[in-house]
Amino acid sequence: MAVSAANSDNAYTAAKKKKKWQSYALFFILPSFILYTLFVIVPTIGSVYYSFTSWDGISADVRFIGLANFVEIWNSPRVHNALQNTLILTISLVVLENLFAILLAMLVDKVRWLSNLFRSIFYFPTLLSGIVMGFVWAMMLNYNFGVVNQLLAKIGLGAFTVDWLGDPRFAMLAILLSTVWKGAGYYMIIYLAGLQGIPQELNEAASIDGANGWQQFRHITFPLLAGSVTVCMVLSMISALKIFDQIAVMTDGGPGFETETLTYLIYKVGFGELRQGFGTALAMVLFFIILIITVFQVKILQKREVEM
Amino acid sequence: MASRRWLKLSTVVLAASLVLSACGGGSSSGSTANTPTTGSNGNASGGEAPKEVSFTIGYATGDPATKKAIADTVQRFMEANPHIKIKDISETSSAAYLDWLKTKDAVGEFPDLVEMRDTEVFADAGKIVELPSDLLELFNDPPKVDGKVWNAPMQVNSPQGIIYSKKAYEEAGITELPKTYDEFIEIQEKLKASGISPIVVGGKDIFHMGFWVNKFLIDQVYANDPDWNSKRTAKQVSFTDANVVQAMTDYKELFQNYVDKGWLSTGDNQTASFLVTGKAAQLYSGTWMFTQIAEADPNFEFGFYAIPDREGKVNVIGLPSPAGWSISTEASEDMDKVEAIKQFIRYFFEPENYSLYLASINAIPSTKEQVSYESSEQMKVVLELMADPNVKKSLAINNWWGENQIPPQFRNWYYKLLQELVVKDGDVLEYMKQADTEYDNEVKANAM
Amino acid sequence: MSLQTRKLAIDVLILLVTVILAVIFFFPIFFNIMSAFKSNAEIMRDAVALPTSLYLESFKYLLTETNYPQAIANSLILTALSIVFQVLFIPMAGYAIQRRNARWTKFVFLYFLAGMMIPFQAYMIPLFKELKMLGLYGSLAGPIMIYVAGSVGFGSLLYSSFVKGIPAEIEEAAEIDGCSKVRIFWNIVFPLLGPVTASMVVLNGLGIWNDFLLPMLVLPSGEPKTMVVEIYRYIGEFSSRWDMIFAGTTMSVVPVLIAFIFLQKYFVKGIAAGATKG
Repeated sequence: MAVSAANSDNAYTAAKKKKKWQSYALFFILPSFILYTLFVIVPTIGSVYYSFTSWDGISADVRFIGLANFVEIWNSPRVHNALQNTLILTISLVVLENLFAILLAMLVDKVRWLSNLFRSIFYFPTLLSGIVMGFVWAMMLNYNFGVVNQLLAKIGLGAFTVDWLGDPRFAMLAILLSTVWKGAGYYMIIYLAGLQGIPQELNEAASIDGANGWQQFRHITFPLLAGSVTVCMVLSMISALKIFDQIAVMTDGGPGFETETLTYLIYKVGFGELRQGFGTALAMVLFFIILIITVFQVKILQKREVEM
Repeated sequence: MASRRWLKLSTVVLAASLVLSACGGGSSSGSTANTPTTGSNGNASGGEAPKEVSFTIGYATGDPATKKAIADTVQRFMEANPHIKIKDISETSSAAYLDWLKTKDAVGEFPDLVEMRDTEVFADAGKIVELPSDLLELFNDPPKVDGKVWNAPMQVNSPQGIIYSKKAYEEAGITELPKTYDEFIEIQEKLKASGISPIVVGGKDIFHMGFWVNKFLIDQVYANDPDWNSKRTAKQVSFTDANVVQAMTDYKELFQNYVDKGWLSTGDNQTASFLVTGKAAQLYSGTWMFTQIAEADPNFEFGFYAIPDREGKVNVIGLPSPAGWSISTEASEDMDKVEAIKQFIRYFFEPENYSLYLASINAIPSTKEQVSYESSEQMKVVLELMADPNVKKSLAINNWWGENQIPPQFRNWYYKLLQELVVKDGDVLEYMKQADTEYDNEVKANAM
Repeated sequence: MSLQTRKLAIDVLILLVTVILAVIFFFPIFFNIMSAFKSNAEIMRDAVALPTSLYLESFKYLLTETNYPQAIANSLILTALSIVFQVLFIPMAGYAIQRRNARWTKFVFLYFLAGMMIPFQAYMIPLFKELKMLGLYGSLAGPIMIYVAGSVGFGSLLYSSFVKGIPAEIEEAAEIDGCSKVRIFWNIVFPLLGPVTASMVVLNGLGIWNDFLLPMLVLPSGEPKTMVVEIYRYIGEFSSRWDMIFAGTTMSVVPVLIAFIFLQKYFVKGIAAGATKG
């Protein structure tokens, strides 16, 4: 707030302004504060309470059981499995989404004709509902009637037809496929803006100096994209940790428990199987995981940014 | 100046909120929150005309034939009784019925008249009340939970079995129905040899797994010991016992050898098309499928039989379980509603209405009064099974009640475990050990 | 090879790769729309083939026999009103947080941000009970307030970082001239926040339009809810009728497609501006 120095010569006016500021700041923030507290924080606190109970979600009877839920979470192999799946899925998603996003951004940036059209095609899936497109993907990947398998058969690759959603080797892949398809475009736009902020001259000067495409990317483009990388990585990580729609619609956490993630477990057991207390405890755990990972990520990425 | 702008703004905001709550108020007339006013409104305008009452009804709509049958009955009832309005809040969703009920309860929309399938859970939670005693006379010894009757049973659980394509059997040279389980396996081999997928399973929908799983469990476990569940809770028996292991091994082998490869991504609702389009020869399911299949292709010829066990004995699902129409606790506090609901229940079970419901889903009546309907050839087989005293009647793992009730969350987990067993070609004993551990954990968790 | 020919060759190569990727990306949408014009038997028989004729029965049914049009209207109203309230309340807050540099505003900022990480399923049930208690359950007011509350975190992040980049001199000058803070904000600062507002409107608008869980659980039963929820219902209802499902999903894609074609500029600019500032 260096600008206020200009007015500091008049101490009285400055003090009077400060008083005016204060009340207005309060007034400006108040509506958002009230709504947010009322509809996000209060229910969350309510949830925190439930996580220490064995409430089933429907009885009037709510029994306090202390840390028992959390102990169970710590020991439960199903939770460990869900945690593992969540981590694998999240890391894969973040890597794939960002890789594709950067690739697509560079293509759209460099392609000589119809770049707007391509940009739109890659970006469009982001606008669609996860649930709706999840269904479409599920139908496309159906073992018997799905277009993917039928197409493979038609072009002679019949040996490659698999049960995308039912084979444990491929179920995770199917989820990754539909999620990356939907998400990459969003980050592509961010990277595109970042790319377009890099002055052409830098690359031109580098090629005059004899640097090839890859070297230019590594030493000029990528470092200058650092800011976009930070934003995209954090956003895609948070979003991946909360993934739900595709799993609910395409695999139901299956086959078996193959694609069951924490969010899905919370919904299925906590909500669907009458273990609201347990489910809420699980949700608390998930929240902390997201918090820690995010803080961690931001710290690391910002450090890299500065270094670059 | 600024204040005037703010005045304008706040007026807009105020107006908007008024409009919104007005919109909202209108549309929430069906919810239980407005219950008291409906009665009195009727009173004011009624005079000597019967009081206007309305109540909400909720039932499982996963099966289209069932849905239509009940919806039709509701329609006809309203036409016959114009002062009673029934608001049908059932929604078809891919989620399980229990999920849906829970959702409705969480948002305060628990139906006044509700189809109960997990009676004990909701009774213990205080969500439903006992069936009014004057309705008990309609039924033949309805099942009791904690010594009380909570439901007007809509049907008696009917046997499940093999629905098979007659053409497929012909083409594979099968002339006789199997008399033992081993003969059944031989038939599967013949079908495989003739080039058709022997069995279609709608594994994507977890409840579908129950059809086969319970067939094996009943044969090996429940037919001989209906109290196995309570013993398991008391840790007197185990999933690793020889009989359970045998059952699950049979299941695993069947699935690995004779079930269509895409079973995990096939939905229950696709299984009918599989049969009629000749993609598979058999489907193991229940009587409600008869209508679905006939509708999918009226020219498709199919038969039905129950698979015997290795000794040639036939054990089927056929015991009643506490399920059916129940009245919610909230509704029970409004006498007018209760009267209207009782009227509807009586109407529902009147032979001319009840027979239509039963016929559309090929169900077995639960009433004392004889209700009969034109039954298809497949249904005749079912009725014969029910009438045959040599056929042991039993229940699926999650339909036992009282001491024999399993933890409500166990069923889905167990079915998923069994999916994994087949897919990963696991060791049955190892997996059954996991089942024991999970079962005990769940019992413990629920006791807290 | 001359330099120009080489450049052309590279450009064509890039074009080729892009086209291949574009085809793959567009395929699900194309398949969706194509299948909507086939009958159920056609789809089952051969998923890959193009429709033999334009089968419009599914669309006709959806438009006339169901409540789909009403559901779309509901979605529009819900989205529009939520956005209006968001724009009313959140930019002010972001502005105040940034300009009033005190300990308590910093605390409020972090307080708001924390909410972004709480998964909705975590507080869903107590939230519904609360709505019921406040008498807001069953109307559009409930979801609207929840949407506004839910975007406070992201919104204040966006706005406060954008305001950071606006020099305060203009505001200071206006204050000296006697303008009230309120006027300063709405008449001077807010117009400058155009790109961020566009960004938030687009992003949140999309999120609300496509939202499923909240409208399904909170809006009253027996009546059409929002477009996405209706589609989900039809998919459940017509689960073995793939032609109906594809028609339904196509109809949910089309409004978005149209909006996108006309508002492309804002979509793209909005995200880029918001993210780079964030």
